[in-house]
Amino acid sequence: MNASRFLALIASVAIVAACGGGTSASPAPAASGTGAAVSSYPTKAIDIMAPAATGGGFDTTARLVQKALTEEKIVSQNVTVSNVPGSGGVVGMGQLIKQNDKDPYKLIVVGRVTVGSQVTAKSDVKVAQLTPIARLMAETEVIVTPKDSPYKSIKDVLDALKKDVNGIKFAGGSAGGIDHELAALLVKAAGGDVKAWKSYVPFAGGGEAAAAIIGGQVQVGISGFGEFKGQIDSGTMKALAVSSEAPLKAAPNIPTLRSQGADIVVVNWRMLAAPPNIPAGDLEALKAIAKKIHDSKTWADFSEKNNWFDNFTTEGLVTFVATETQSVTATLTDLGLVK
Amino acid sequence: MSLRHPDAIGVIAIVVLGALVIYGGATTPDPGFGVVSPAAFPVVLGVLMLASAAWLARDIFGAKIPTIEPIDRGPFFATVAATGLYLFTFVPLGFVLSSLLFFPVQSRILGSRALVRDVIATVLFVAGVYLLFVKFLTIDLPHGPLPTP
Amino acid sequence: MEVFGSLLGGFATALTPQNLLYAGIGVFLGTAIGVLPGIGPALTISLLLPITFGLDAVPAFIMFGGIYYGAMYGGSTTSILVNTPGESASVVTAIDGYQMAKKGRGGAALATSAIGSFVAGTIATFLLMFLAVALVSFAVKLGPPEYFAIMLLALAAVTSLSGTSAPKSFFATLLGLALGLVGTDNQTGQLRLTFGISELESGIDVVLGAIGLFAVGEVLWYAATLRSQQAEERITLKGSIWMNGEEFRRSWPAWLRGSAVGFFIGALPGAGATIASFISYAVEKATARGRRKSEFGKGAIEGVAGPEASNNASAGGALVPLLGLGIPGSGTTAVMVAAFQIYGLQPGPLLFDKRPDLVWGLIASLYLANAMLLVLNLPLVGLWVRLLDIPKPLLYGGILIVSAVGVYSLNRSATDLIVVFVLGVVGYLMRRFDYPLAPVILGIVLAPLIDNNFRRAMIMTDGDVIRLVTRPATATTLVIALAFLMLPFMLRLYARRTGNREVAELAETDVG
Repeated sequence: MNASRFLALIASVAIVAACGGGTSASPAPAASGTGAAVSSYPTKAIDIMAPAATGGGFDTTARLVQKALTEEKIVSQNVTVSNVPGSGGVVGMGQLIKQNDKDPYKLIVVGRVTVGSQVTAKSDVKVAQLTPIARLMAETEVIVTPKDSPYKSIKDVLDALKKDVNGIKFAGGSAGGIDHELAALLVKAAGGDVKAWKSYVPFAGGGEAAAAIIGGQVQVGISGFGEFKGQIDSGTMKALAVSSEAPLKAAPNIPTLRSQGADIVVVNWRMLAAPPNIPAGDLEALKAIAKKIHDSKTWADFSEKNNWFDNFTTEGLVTFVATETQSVTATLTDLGLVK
Repeated sequence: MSLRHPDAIGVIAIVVLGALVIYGGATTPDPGFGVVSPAAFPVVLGVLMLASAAWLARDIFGAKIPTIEPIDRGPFFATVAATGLYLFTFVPLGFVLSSLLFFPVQSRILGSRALVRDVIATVLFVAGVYLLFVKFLTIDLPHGPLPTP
Repeated sequence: MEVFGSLLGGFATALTPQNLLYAGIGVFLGTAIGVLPGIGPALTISLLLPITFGLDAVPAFIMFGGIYYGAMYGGSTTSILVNTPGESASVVTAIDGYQMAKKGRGGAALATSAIGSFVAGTIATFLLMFLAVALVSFAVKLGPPEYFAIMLLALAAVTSLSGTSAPKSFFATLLGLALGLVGTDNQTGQLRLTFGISELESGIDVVLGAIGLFAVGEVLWYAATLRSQQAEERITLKGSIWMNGEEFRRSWPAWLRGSAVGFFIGALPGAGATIASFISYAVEKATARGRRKSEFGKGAIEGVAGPEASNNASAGGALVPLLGLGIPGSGTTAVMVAAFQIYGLQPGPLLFDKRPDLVWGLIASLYLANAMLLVLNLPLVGLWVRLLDIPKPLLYGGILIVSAVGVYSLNRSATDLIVVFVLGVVGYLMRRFDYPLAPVILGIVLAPLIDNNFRRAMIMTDGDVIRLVTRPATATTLVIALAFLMLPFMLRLYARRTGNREVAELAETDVG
């Protein structure tokens, strides 16, 4: 428990309470001093923006970075997380790019979801404008059904789609996002006409979608693996496939889409980035810090428990973002999700 | 409906707002993912707003014109201006400067004449809120032209 | 019984000095921060999450439980005393609570909401233990069509909110619904009603509505009526600090009804405390008889006791889908899910087997947190009432500053502050011309729920409205909602035809 924060609370309560009367109280001492890092960065508090509401994937990743930084004492400064929700991260990213140019103390977590939203929402701010620090992780999508579903495999699902393109209702995250994209890819793989397909039921997040899937309101659910892991483990949902190239180490019995006759690979990734135009020296220091986060026990434990793929890198990210943007745009346009 | 009825302006405002909602709703692009267009609900709301304006107009048609009490114009418009300025300058000037300026001015508008007390209260209050939010809750309040702590 | 054995084990965990201390800290922080306008339970927990890094999971979650229940307690204070609800779940409380405060019964209003919260929190925690599994399997049977119907039913609650003119209440509701639709549409990713202002993409949070319409509006109202306000002698306290006998007798049935409403609404994923509080207000007004019915809007204690019990019970209800299925049912439980994940835990039914110490320790500590809150808050009532002794110019300036900070903390957005200012002016004008404000808040909350669930339902039925409304649960709820909405008009028509004055009065009080 952080003692200086607690002192601050007591002092402020005393001052605010004293306002009506007129007694005085002296302010508490400010936060502790600087650490002894190789570069001069960081010399003050760091804020990590999670461009989404509390509880989702961006938020969890940002808080994990925060936890690793503070708990493993990688930096001695305060690290805060701020949530700016909206449009798959585009709203928060826009705020950061416009207001925090050159500021290496305002970091952000963005990902493939942000790239997709920037395309579907025709946003004027782009992930490519950010200064990438490190790609942190990748996560597979998972395709599930309620536990007593008649669809036992992806083949069953594809067969049903072949018969009637609207015969199966899908539940997943917001429209135009990665879950929607994967559903459309399945329809296409079944030879269905994506334009005539109107059976994707979007929910605000994995949680709300989960209730609809468990209750059998829809036939198939799609989300990031982490969102449905608990329900798969407890048997209220049955996993038909993962969308990664290979099965998960922790769940080898869930086959890939490829092994079931649908040539689709979709993985979600997230990266840590800074505003445009930060000093080159600070960027190097941030990359070194990111490596330490990745090597920490906090990080390793968490990513193992949540079946994240390790695709950590600090190099070649500008090119990576450019190619991802290109391929996501092409897929979404092809599927008719962007007009 | 008499234009001298105090609710007449309300009727006009509702009609304008209803038209705006219908326009804003109807111009929402529909990429055609679902069955019902995103325009549907706003348009329904806008139409219902027009209906509520008509209903209100009917209610005040021929009704006796009620007198409504005059307001204290001075303090009211001063408060609108002070509050507006405060909320508009909160980010550019930063929390500390804008609050230090706003608090004593607003107290004076609302009839306080104890300037010394107000200034002391302002400093203590702003310091308390600053400690609570910035130091304890670690919320990054805007600092404006002041250097970052 | 097995549950009691487990619960005893939970109390053994919760009663260790260390865990008691963390529950106490959580309760204290939750209350202190929950009092501030704009900062509700979800934001409080997410701000305080880093404090627990380095703690074990058990004490950390015991502290979160304390913060959650504590923040739910804190919300009503400013709403009752100064008519400035800090969060949407205590907007209805302001209607009758503030009237009570003006009559010098603010202490009683605070006491009934503190004891009501205790009763509701305890009942909800108890129901959580026994009904979690059964209720969860019922809740998932309800799909988008049923949610759509339930939200329409909730909308019918506006007819119980007082106002002098039916078309004005009707417009206030529509305004709220329209404000609730502003922003990115979840179903298509398109922008709606933003009129080219890119900062409105993320929508207008209901907190902005509560702070703008009520807090800023109240300050403008005070300024506009300054002379008469200064002339009027404000009564801080008349009679006993807490409740008198009659107030207590009127409160307890409302606590029980509010607890039931709140728990079940809270258990539905996506519904939440605000809707629970509005429905509870409608229930209280519907069950009141005679003179008491006409007191609603003028300081009926049931109008405080019911909604305050119900918004706390909904906190317990929201834990049902969290512990029963691992699904977050509300903004606050979404933060708890994040917290579970940071600790490497997967919330859900398996947690009862894997970490019984944690789950039962958490449940036991919720009982303790509730008791602590009562002990902490009842004596505070006297102190809070004294808040009204602060010179008004300082009090109102302070409210604006804390409101601005609260709004800024939400999304760190300068635009939000401007939205709050505009809503403040609108709120003042609406009050000046006798438009009720509470329906606007209900509208903001319900608009996306009604819209999204209707459109989801239509996708599920391939656009067939008949298939939609013939689902038994949907049909039943829709009929009840329609009856609620139409009843006042039918009564009025009937009264006009027959000239029956009694029926006419009934119709008037219902429409309000």
